[in-house]
Amino acid sequence: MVAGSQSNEGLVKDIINVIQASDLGWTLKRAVQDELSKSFVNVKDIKRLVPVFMKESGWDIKVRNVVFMYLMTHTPPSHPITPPETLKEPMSFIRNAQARWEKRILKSINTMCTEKNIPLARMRTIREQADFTQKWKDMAFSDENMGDIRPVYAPKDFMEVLTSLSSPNYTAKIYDYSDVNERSGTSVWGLIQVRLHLKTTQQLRVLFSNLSTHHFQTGADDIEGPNPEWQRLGVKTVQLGYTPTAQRYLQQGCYPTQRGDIWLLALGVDNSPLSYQYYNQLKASVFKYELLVDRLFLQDVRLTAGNHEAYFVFEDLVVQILLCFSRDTQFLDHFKRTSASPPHAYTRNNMGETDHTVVYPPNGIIPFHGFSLFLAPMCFIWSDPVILYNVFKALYTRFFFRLHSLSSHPQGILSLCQQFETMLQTHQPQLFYHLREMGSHPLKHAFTWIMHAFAGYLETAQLLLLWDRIIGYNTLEILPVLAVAVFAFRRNNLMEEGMQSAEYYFDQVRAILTYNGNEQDIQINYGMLLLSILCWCFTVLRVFNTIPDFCWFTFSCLYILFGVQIGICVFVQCIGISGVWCAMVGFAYRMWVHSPADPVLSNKLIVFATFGSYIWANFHYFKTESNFTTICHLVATWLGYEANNIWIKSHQQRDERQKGKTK
Amino acid sequence: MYNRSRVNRGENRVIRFKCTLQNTIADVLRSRGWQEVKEESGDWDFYWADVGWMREVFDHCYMEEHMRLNHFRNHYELTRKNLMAKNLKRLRKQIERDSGKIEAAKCDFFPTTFELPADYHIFVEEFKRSPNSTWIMKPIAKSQGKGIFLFRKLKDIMEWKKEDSWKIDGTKDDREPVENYVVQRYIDNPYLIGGRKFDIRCYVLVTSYIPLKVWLYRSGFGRMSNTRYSLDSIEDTYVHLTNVAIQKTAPDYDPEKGCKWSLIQLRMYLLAKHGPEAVETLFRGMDDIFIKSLQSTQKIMINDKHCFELYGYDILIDETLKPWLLEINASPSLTASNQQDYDLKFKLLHDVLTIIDMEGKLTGKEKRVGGFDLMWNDGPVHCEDLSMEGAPNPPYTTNTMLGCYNNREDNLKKMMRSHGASNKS
Repeated sequence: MVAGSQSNEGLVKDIINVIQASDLGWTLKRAVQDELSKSFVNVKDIKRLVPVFMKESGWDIKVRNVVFMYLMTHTPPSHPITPPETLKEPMSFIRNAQARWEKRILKSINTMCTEKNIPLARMRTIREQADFTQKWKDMAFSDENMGDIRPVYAPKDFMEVLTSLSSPNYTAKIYDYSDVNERSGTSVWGLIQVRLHLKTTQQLRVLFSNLSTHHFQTGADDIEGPNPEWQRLGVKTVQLGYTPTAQRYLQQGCYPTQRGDIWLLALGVDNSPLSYQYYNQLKASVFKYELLVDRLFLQDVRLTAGNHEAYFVFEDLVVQILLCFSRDTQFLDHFKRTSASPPHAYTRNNMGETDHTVVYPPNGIIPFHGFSLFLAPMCFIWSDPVILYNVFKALYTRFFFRLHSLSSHPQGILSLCQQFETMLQTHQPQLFYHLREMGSHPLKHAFTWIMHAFAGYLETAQLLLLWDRIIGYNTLEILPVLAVAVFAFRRNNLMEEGMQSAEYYFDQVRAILTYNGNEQDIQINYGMLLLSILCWCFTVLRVFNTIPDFCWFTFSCLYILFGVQIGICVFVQCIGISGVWCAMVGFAYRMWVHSPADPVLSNKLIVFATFGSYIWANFHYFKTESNFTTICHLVATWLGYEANNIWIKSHQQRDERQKGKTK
Repeated sequence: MYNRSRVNRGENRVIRFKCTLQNTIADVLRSRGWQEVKEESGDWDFYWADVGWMREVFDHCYMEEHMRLNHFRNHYELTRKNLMAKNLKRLRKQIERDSGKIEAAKCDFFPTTFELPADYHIFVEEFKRSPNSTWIMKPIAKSQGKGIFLFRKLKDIMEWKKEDSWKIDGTKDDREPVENYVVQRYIDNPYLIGGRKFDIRCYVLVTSYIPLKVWLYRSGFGRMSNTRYSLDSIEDTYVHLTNVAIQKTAPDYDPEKGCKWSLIQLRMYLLAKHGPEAVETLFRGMDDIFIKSLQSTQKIMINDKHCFELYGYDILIDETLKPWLLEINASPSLTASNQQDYDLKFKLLHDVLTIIDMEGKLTGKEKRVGGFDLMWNDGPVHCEDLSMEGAPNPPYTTNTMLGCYNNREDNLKKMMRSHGASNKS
């Protein structure tokens, strides 16, 4: 107990430090001083009066909220001799992978710099500053050409990193029996190779117990109209102004009218005049300096949020806020809690001296494709950029930063992905197996959902209801749960999909063989096929000694020819089997010309009839179809002819060899 | 006679339809399994006609009892800009006479409008009375934003006057007939979202004028202007007009974007910004617009039980969240701009056909069919008790749910099931 109380003392000290350093601590002190300096206060009573005053004036709740927020966002202090890098990320192989990933990003930024000849950062001239100030309101409409700026990385790239990650001291126990011969192949069913400790389904059930159908759920149980009781409760929650209550309220979702107030409360965001000042400072630094990341943000907004059917309206608001975001050094704080570390750049004049490195961009965060979608949906709640900025900051430093850094944290993207795969395997094994066999791994779809926290994939109303729950439960673990639910919900469609594609090929083959039902084509082609087989029989039969030999040869030839023909048809999107009879006629013609004349008249007639109708059919298609068809026919015939050449030569050689042996 | 009764009971015979448009409506009609009849054939049960046909053929055409047509004879009373203004002014005067000024103020939902050249002098008077206001000129007969321009000085239209060569008193006969315009006070404080102006398109179905029976569709959309709104650039029509037809020709128009917000989205946005009371007042105000505008022509409209009409209402909201009626379209654009838009229009038309009820499946007492809510049936239709127990007062007094969740499939299924059950018994 002694140790416990000691660590508690440390915690209390930390919290007191936080409060004293904050705006709140200062105003609180002033308020208490004002109260105590009133004439009727006796010095003896101070100790008794201060708590009463705190309670009566509502300061009490504010302090409680700050303490609560601190406990929510900070992990309990660890053992004092833990090295700092272990605090960031306990597993060294993940730490190294993250470092490699960061290096890769940095490298690609540097390449972009040199390729496009854009400096990482530069100060704007005064005239440019004036221009930029004018443009500020119309950021998204500025005519600057961004065409050649590519996002540094997209979710797909990041997923590759995640799936290539594997633990050095973990041997997979689950073998994939389908490729048991290749021991080096995938050792687990899913794409994520790393095994981390996860919550079991039962634990998740307990955690999300308020999501059960016994409870009222906003967005699901109120289709016929809003639930007035829930609304009243929301009003009460706002009046109470107590963070834990607001958080609990959000677990069941809230209505758009109250979302603004309740989110501010639950996230502990106060929009003090100080934060307005701070935002203006950031804005000023945006005006003053031009960064390379500005272009990245601008381009990202154009490609994602600005191109989204609901968010395009807020294009310039989103750009403005994101530019300020990139200048905010307060974000560097959150790197203490994550495996990621901010990239550094060297100032130009002092190359190589570590003293002169600076964090670049100032907030240490390099955007990826779709970053702006974290911010855009909130424009439906507030239009004041400062409030939006403060909320975005709170949401990012509490949740979203985990979605694009490698870590073993239970809410890190790695755990979330593993959670998704494990859950889908446990509860929908058939579906998982089916999709995997189809070559479309479920995680390939779900990864972008999870990495974007579903922004851009759900309708805004639904998305905000989901984010309600993220804040309410203070965890991102709801994302994989929802992703699994989506798969389970669409199970039937997904299971059918594979069948459909098999059916599709079957239909295609049928269409090829039946000429899409064109009767004339069927008559001509199958007539020709019959004739050419007959002709083939009479010309080729004489070469073989026995009938079974001949039949075997003929059938294997037909088999190969049909296979090649249908393969080509599927590939170039044409229909028909004309290549088959063309090749056969070519083969038979070579046979006919180079072998001694057939004495039987009826055979002669059949062969001539075949050649005649071959010429007629080709002429017919030359007139009706494109030239390409005729060329194909002739090529097929020529190939058949050549094949016979080769075949006869090999025959002759064999015969000679046999003769030599007998001699 | 035998045929007709069978059609009415929806047995055996397939309904034959004729449709001159080749877009969403044709798809919907076919998807119901109806049979298309060729052009020039008068042998139809249902005709989705264009306005031109109404003008030329309607009067010489005999219609059997079961036949249905998608326009009223003089539909233009509401949809021509000048006639609409005239009718609304008349209604306003009448209400002021009957029930006093307060009631009449409910009719102030359309901007001051004058017809040119007829009302030129009155317009000039009004213009001089309110300096610094912006006015908008619209040609009466044209649609889709053609020929519209803005001006602030009388000088601007003087020039235009010369160009178009018309005179206030007496035109020469050898000239082409004068192009009539309406001039309207421009609402220069529109509600902006993200700096963009927008207007709302809602769909209203009238199945009969006497008694007036009006249905309102739950879904609709807000059409966003492509660029930031400012009054400095009154030459730039892209800023000021939200017509899709105009926006489509804008240089940076992206069909994927569509520039449209669903009404649900819009409602959510407004709720978050202004709270439920303000939004409720706004949507009530819009209901008033629908009903009052239809009432203004109720007496002059030639009622015909064969006819129905689907109106597209264009409504603008200003900064104070007051709705303004911009225009009513009798043949709203049914060509879809993207998949989402197509889905909306497809479902809308499907529900229209369900209400028209060629198959004889409805009882006639429904308050809701698919996405449509009956809002006026010779008097306001009140909402059934939607409120939960213990609620102080129900949030909706009339039966309109504009911009609410549109669970039309559920409703249709439920309706068909209950009707099926009652038929069997």
